[in-house]
Amino acid sequence: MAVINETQVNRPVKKRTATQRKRGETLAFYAFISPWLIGFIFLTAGPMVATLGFSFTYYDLASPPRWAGLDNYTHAFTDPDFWQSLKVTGLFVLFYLPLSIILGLLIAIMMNQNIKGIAIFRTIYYMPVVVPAVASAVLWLWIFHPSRGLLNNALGLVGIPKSQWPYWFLDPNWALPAIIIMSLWGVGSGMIIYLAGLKAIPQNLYEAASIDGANPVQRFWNITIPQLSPIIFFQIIQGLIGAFQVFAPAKILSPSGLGGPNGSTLFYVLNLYNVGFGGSHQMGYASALSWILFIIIMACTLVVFRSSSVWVYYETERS
Amino acid sequence: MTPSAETAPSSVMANNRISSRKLITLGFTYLVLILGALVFLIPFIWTILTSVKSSSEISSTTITFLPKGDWHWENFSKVFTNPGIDFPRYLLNTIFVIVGILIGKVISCTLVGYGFARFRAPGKNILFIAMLSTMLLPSYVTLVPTYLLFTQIFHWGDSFLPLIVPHFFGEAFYIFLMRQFFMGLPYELEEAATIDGAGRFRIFIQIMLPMVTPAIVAMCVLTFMGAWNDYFTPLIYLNDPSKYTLALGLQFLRDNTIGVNNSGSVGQLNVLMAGALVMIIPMLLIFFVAQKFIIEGVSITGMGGR
Repeated sequence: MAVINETQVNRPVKKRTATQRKRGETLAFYAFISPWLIGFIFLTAGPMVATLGFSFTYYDLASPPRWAGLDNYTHAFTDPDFWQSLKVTGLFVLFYLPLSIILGLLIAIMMNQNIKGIAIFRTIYYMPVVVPAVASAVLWLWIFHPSRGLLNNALGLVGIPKSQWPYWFLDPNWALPAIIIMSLWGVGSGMIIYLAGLKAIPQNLYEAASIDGANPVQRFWNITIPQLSPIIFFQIIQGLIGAFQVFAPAKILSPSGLGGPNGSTLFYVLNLYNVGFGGSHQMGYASALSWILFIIIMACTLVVFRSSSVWVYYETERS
Repeated sequence: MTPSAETAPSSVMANNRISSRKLITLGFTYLVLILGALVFLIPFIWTILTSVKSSSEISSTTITFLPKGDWHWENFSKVFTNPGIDFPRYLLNTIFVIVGILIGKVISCTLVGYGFARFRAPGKNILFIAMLSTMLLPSYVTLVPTYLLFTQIFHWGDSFLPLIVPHFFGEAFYIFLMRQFFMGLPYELEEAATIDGAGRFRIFIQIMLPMVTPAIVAMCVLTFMGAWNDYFTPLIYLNDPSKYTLALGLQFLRDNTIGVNNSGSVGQLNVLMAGALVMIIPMLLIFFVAQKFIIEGVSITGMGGR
């Protein structure tokens, strides 16, 4: 009797605890992730939609927003500053991104050797990455000084006459190359990631290839590059997103901070800042610019993603 | 002399040839590494050397690499006693903001990371993908409404709140880092505690949290550096110079020494470079001490800092 009673009582209780546990787990999940969820709704998703809304208005903070229809967008396409900012950002991507990937990869390959003192070199090469952007800008300002700067005086030492020294940040043709050179100082950030990728490549791939008679160049193109391609792919996306968000150097290094001379360092976000926060507050137009930025980045990411099936190699494809 | 001596020389010679070729490659590798290291180090060296030169030396027409005569370390104290530019205040402001940010980050990212790592719930996968996709989202897409919310509705302009509060809602990158660490822990830890009757939150605080200390340290180090470097957020929210952080303070120092348009007097470049070093040196020290955490954190998630 007692035994039967126990099972009769226990069964429904067990069932309830199972569904209760499930509900409890769901509740716990949402409780634990609630900080992010609240932030996602009120500081990410909500503002994203609000930005879109504001982009259809005129809003200068002084008076309430007025409906503008598509004016802000049509204005962007006739605004020379907008096109200039796209050109500057595009040129930066075109030169900086391939250079940083090639240099980062080359340095990582050099670092991937078991030789004495390699850790010291790795530390030195990575050091510039931790330098704050503002400090870095101030420091390079001095290196690029037209007459007293280290770089121009080095050019003098190799025989380039003073009359031909570039004015760097004061010359519309040299300001952007100067920012690219300066940015390449931080190439160690990519190096570390490629290095982690190199260390993860199974050694037996190389051994097998050596036995088959592959030379180092063949091994590089047929093993290292395919194995690293997912990482390179990710770095390209990161680099694209990063390039569209360059701000501190553009703001600090251009005379008067507006992206000059002649708009030669008017990066996309600097233009956005000038429109929304520099003097006049054209919040509607700034919102439209943020949405255009968002669309450009999404489009670029999509293109890279689409093309990735051609050149990115994933382990899982093999099996 | 002995028969074996006949065969020995050829193999020794082969060995020598291989090892000398190896030696040359090794020497070449070191040469490239050292030259590269010099390129990366020279901007630092030039900054340090400039910071200890006298104003007259910097202004003179002959350009020197090494300082002539005495090294003027007092340029560093000039950074902190510059009239109108309250560097000690900026340093305190920066530390205050960073402490706030760290508290927010640790609380939110560990909680959320644990939530995503350990619980099954309807909607979890979609939320996880949404969370990851915010990593690719440029922060500028939310800039205008967030700015309006903080300044026009909450009236937080010229306070540190807009700099700190958003960090209490987690950040995808670190949430992902935390999740990866929590997922690596065995389930037995929680099961044993559940049998003992501990609640989920207690298990999280007392058992799970201490297990991911390395991840928390990595997150704190990277967050510290990010907040120390941040220039955009303080720039749009802080107008009152007494509220400036170091990033704004250094720009302020630049504007007041060599001028906004970079063409003013170079005589105070020594103080400016000392100011830049005040911002750089703590970062380098943290990097040297926590190098392992930084490099691991960066390589695990595949994000290159910056």
